[in-house]
Amino acid sequence: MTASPSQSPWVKVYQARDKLVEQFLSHPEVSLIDIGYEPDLAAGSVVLQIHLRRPEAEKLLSLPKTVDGIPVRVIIADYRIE
Amino acid sequence: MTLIEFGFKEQEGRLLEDELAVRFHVRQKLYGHALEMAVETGQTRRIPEKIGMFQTDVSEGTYYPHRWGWGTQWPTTSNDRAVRTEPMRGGISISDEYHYAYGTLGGLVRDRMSGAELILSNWHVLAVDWWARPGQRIFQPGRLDGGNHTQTVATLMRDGMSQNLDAAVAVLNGQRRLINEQLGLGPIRGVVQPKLGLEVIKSGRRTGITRGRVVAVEGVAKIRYGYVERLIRHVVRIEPVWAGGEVSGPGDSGAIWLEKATMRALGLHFAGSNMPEEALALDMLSVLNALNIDLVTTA
Repeated sequence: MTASPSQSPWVKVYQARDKLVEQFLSHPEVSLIDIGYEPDLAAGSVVLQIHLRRPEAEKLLSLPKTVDGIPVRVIIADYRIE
Repeated sequence: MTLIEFGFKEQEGRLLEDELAVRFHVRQKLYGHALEMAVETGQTRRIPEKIGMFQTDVSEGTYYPHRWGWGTQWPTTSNDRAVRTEPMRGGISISDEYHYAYGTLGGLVRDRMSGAELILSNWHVLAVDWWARPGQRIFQPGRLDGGNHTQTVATLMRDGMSQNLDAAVAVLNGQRRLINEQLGLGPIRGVVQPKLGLEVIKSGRRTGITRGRVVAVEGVAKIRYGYVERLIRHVVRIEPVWAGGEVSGPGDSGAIWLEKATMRALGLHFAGSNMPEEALALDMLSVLNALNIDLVTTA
């Protein structure tokens, strides 16, 4: 899988992201869900990333390790308009 | 701050004569987002509710010696992004007419229907309020940089908030030209879809020219606008190229992120985080399609 969002294998990634969004984005501790990559994984592999406002929030949510085979990573970050 | 005194606390225009307070007089009293932004940018500090045993009170007041002449000029600044600029270009200060704030003028775009030349920036820079209407005046520099009605350069036209995009355009009023150039970087040479790992660069009012790397695409974020939380789509996330680097800060909103190697636009900056240091941008192609505009570029 390449790192360009316009190509067809990304359809599966978008569907997995949408599942995560539907299930978790409404939680007040979740600030962002996006699609990224990790240098440790094989070249071209992508991961789903769920951003939590506080580290403690991870215990409150039963986050899956993968969605449709795509790994899910947790990032602690809150975002504000600039 | 223009004056600090002991006096009676004021409430709804009446003095409460049984309540002594430390009274702070300021040139302009700030509320909500404007206050948050002024605190973030170091232009002001929050006044505590109590000092020792006394309540505090904040009033508006500007005081001058009684002499003939007009009032003092706003302090000048040596920051070339914060001053009146002609011709205008991307990366300079801009704001709406009502808020004591500044954001970044992104760049020059053209309406696909009329061909009119427009300014591209964020909704929260050009519109700011949910009740903002087309025709609202846009100042360059922004009000927090001393801009006022004599520096009106455009009027609000439309925005992308209904499509979950914090983007807006304003139509130039002919007072000053806007050219395809990013301050300190040169012209935009096209538009490109963001890709993971791409090295990017931007020119913004607050942090100037900064570099980063695209680390995530197609994000869906929940962002607070005052007391309202909105869903924002097509989010691109950018990290500094090296650990400890800075990518953006308050006042950079509206800046355009460019692919460093080609100077093609890929994102419209709108938000960020300090811990970790990250910038959030809107996918530029989604912004252009939502607002029915084209970016003016140079081949």
